[in-house]
Order: sequence, then structure tokens, then C-alpha cells
Amino acid sequence: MSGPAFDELLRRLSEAGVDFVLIGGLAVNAWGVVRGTKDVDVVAASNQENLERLAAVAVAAGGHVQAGEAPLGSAPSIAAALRAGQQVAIETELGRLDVVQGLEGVPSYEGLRSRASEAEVLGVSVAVCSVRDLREMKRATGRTCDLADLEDLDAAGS
Amino acid sequence: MEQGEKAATNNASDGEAVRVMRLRADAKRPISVNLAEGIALSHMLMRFVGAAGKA
Repeated sequence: MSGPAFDELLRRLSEAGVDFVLIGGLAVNAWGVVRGTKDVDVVAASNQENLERLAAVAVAAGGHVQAGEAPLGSAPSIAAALRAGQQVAIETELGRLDVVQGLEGVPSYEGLRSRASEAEVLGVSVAVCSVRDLREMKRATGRTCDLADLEDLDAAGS
Repeated sequence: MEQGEKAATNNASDGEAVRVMRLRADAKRPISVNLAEGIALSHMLMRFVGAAGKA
């Protein structure tokens, strides 16, 4: 891996027409709490065409999903993993992409998208979940780092 | 409380006040600016951790 390039990953997803909303650490960044994160978390529209587009972008970026001992590295197998899994981590040369769907406490893509804001990344528009949705997801997860994010979002007045 | 402890407490609360002030200022910036900065910071930290792991 030449090094992480989350912005390039987001640009490629957007240019490929993948429907997704940014959540997680990068959404926390966008709402004013700038801290490091190890991956790009997104909720993607769950229709088959969209998951296939997403899988194609991942494969073009050298992506694979670790499934037991065997890595899944083809677009059909990654798309199948995305269809089957509530949370799928795709390791790419541009960094790790976590695709979340249907997890408890995580709103649907449609709901998130309808309330999202647009951010510009490398000349393309990326949907970022609303700060209200972000807070609710952080509250639902309840891990120490999520509660710390909530405190910082409160302090920021976001 | 000893003088040294008082100074440490004051420094900590000053540091927290500065941190909160900075968070509020950042929250007023466009989300694109914050996102770009967060991505740059993440890249830097991951490279640093990667380099430390190889050292």
C-alpha cells in the first residue's frame, strides 16, 4: 500500500455513481471535531446495482474482504459479501472502507441521505450524515470513543 | 493544595478552555474544510504509525 488516500477513495466512489452517506470518524471530522480515524465508514444504498458499483471501485483499488482465511478479491464476491453482511470491511490500497447496512442503531440509507449535507472532496460532492443522525449512532453504539466524540460534539456546539 | 498542584490544575483547566474554544471555532467552518483537515490528519497519523511499526 502506498499510503492511505481517503479523499481519493471518496472521489472514486462518487464518480462511479455509488450512492452512499459518510458516517463515523470522517463525519465527526466534518462536524467540527477534527481527530484521526483509521477507516472510511459509509452507509450505502442496498440495491444490487449500487453494491456492484461499490464492489467494482473497491476491486479497482486493490480491495479485498477477509472471509475466514480466504480473501475475497473479485467484484462479484465482494458484492455478495456486501449483500450478506451488516458490516463489511474492505481493505483497499487507499485505506479501509467499512460498509455498514442494517446494523441496529444505524438508520437506513434513505433516511440518512434525506437529512445529509454535502461536502466537497477533490472536486466531487459527498453526502455527510446530519449531526443529529451522527449523534444518535454514537449514542446507540456507546463505545468509549463514541461517547468521547459525543462530548466533543457537545463542546463544539455542533 | 500545594502551589505546584494548583498550577497544574490551572494549566489543565486553561488547556481544556482552549480546546473547547478551538472546537467551537472549527464547528463554525464549512464541513468541506473540516473534512479535508480530518482526512489529512488521519493520513499523517497512519503514516506515522506505519513508520513507527517499521522502525
